[in-house]
Amino acid sequence: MSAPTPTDTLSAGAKAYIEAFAEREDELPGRGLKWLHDARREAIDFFSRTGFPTQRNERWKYTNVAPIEKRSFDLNRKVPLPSRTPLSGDLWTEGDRQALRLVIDDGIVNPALSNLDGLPQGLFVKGLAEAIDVESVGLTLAPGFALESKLTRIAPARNDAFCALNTALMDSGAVIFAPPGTVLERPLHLIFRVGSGEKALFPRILIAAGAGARMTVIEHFSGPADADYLENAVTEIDLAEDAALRYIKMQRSGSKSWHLATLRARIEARAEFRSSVLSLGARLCRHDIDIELQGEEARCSLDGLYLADGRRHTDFRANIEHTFAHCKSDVYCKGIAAGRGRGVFNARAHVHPDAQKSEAHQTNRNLLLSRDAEIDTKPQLEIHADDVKCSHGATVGQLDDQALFYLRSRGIDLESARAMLTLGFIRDIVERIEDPDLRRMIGKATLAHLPGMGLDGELSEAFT
Amino acid sequence: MSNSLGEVDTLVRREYQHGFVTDLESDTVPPGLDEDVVRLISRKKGEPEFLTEWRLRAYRHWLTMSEPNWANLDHPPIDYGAISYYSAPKSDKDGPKSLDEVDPKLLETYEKLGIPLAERAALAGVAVDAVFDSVSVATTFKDKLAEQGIIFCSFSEAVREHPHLIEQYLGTVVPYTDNFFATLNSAVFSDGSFCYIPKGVRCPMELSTYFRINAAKTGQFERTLVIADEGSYVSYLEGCTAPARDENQLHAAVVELVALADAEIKYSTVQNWYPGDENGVGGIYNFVTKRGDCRGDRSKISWTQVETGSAITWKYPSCVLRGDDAVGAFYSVALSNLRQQADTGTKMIHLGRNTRSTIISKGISAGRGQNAYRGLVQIGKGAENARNYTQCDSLLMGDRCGAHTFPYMEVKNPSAKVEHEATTSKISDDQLFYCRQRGIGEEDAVSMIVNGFCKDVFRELPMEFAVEAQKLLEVSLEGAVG
Repeated sequence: MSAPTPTDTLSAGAKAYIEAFAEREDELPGRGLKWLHDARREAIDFFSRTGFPTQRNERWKYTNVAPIEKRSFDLNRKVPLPSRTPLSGDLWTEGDRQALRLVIDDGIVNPALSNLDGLPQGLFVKGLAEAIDVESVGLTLAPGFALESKLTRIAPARNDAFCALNTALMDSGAVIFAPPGTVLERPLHLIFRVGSGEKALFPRILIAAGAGARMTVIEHFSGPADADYLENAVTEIDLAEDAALRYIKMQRSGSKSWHLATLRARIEARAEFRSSVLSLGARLCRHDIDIELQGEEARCSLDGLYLADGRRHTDFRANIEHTFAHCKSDVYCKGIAAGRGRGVFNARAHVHPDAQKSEAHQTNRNLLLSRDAEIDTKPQLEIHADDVKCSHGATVGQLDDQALFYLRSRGIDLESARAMLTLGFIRDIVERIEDPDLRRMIGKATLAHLPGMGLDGELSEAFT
Repeated sequence: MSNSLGEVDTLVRREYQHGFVTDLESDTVPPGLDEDVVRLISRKKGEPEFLTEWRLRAYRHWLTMSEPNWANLDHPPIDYGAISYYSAPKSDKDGPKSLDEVDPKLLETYEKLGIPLAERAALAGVAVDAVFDSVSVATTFKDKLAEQGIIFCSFSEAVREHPHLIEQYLGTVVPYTDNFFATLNSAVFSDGSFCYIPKGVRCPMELSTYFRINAAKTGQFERTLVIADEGSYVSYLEGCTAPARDENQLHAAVVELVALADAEIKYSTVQNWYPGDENGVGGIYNFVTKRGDCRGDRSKISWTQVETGSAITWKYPSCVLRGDDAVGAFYSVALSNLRQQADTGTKMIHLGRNTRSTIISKGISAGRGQNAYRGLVQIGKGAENARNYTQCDSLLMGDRCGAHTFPYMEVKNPSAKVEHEATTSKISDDQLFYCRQRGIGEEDAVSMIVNGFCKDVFRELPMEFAVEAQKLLEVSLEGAVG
């Protein structure tokens, strides 16, 4: 098959991705699976038609991705060099050396550092390529589980360029499946690390839970401070009836990197999706979340924290489709913009006709700490049913002068007082994490990124 | 553009083939638009050169624009070539000197609409500059206002009598390049109202204009310009009704307000144009650009609107808070019943220091109505200590209607405080039950609850308008319950 012809209107930057696909088409995982190969081709066709989004596109109104388009990342990673950096010092091992984890270095599973011992019967966690290989040779991953019905199906590459690029070029990531009724008591960490070099990575994560299954999954992204790399991640989540997933995303990518993440979740009747997305690193970060509540009494809650200091730009977008009656959604997001940073928030709840007794709430609070920083926020409700309870609230403000004065009158210097109040502002996002060990680790990691936060002194023990 | 130039050409040459509704000779140009039509309008109105040129610049710019499609609205494409862009009652040739000289047929139409002009003006102490179609036919209380140096007249009269003011202020708030509908208006605007309040004068009465749409197939392109000079105050009322008609009518008005230092403008609107029937047939398409410029320090502009009519409302009365300590306010009740669609809201652009703005928006959706609030609060870099408070609530009546909110907040100053709250709910069964068990009929109960819901906005309306507005809501909601 020949490569799709790039449209003339596409930039050289966009064409590079199409060419990379043509070149790597045959070596990408799942070349032998027709459905997967078709999905990849469909995705690259879509991208060839649209190219990268511009700010004229309402969904990208406040985020400019032209700098990504102009860069030439290494798209032909043929000789991967997994980093040998041990996990020591990393927060995950500090609390629990036996923590369940899948470590992926530069897109390659690092078995030496991973630990998947003691998973419940039937629950599997596999690297993406490995999972695809199993299906490629005609085997099934688990009874009642077909990759074909999930992968690229929950997040079709129909309406977003970055999701399309990931679909076309995905070569790493993880597939997790919990059979009906399985309960995973311990949190499972997916640790994505990046070595040096200007590369582009396309991780894909699929989390599927059978009826009544429960688990906690944490995605953790980090990388070197000085590397200029692109992470274009897609997470697909499929929760069958009565399933529950606690999902946490820690984005601590290198401060020169570009992190664009898509999350799509399909939530069936009575299932619950609770997520916390903490966006702490990267030069430009975007979380693009789409939730479909596909059965009565399905619930989701999306917590978010974004820090935009330095020259960081962070964008949080969430869209929730209330298709059935008695569903509930809650978006709770806090943002801090400092330095020359810019924080963008957009959440939309769409209540379809006949989705009576829906409840949809959105809260977005922002702290604007400097003259050159900016906050753009846009909560959105579109309601086509009458018996609903929907609300949204958004605020942009700064630290309270009176509170600052109070602290200073107690002999606390200005910097510490500001740090304390800033911490107080974001505190509840961390405290809404139920597991005490996770809460402590995440709290500590978050503190390290908070602007003006010296980690010495008592504040470092803020989360216990 | 919905038409290529060639098509427009043929349309222009086509003979006017539509009958009139009121048996009144209208001086209507054939449907279609080109530079000659723009020139013709300008010539007929005896406009000075600068205005003709301005119109032409707007027209040429309009040709490069395309109709916006971002609003939450759904309507068949508008054929701009099928609209007649000028219509004036013929009897204006000599210009009526008093009410007696006004064509009795015209007065009769007012009567039918329930606005006995003379009576009402006397009773309410309101100066009425009535706009019938496009040319003002009667102006009252002019002398009284003139004593204080207040200019309140039709736009064309202002062009003749006070061209320097027009040249100085026209298009300074809404430039002719602003948006598709405002640009179209700039090219073809027919008439409207003009008001100038001199320095330090507090206008002694509520100024009001009644817009009417009468001649079929005549787009209405009103242009209103209100200037409040330093330290002055004016309260301006605008109300509209239109007879029922089966053809959708386009209305693209522009309102510009300028408040200089310490001046205050209070602009109130009650809009109850024909909304179309329950199948969405007929009804007015209302695409309005309204903007106030708080140009001077400590100036204040408030918009209060009650929107119950029109098949489509696309309207975002805005305030540019340029001066330090300027204050902007927006109070709105928008009701959409039947198949009405409203996409309305406001923009508050904070540029000066210590600027404050308040937004209270109440949306009511019933039947198959769609109601959207779309607002922007922008705090510029230099807007120290800017404050905004926004509250937008929606009330849903019936399970086939929709309520939507699209608030945008863009904050670039760390000393700013911006707050936004919104809720959506229906009239609770408890509330209804409470009223019913006190012996209040269902319709009355609903109307009471709706009035309570809108209270914050009605309170901002001048007295006589507030009464009218409550009545209007009742009438508009008839049959929405049960």
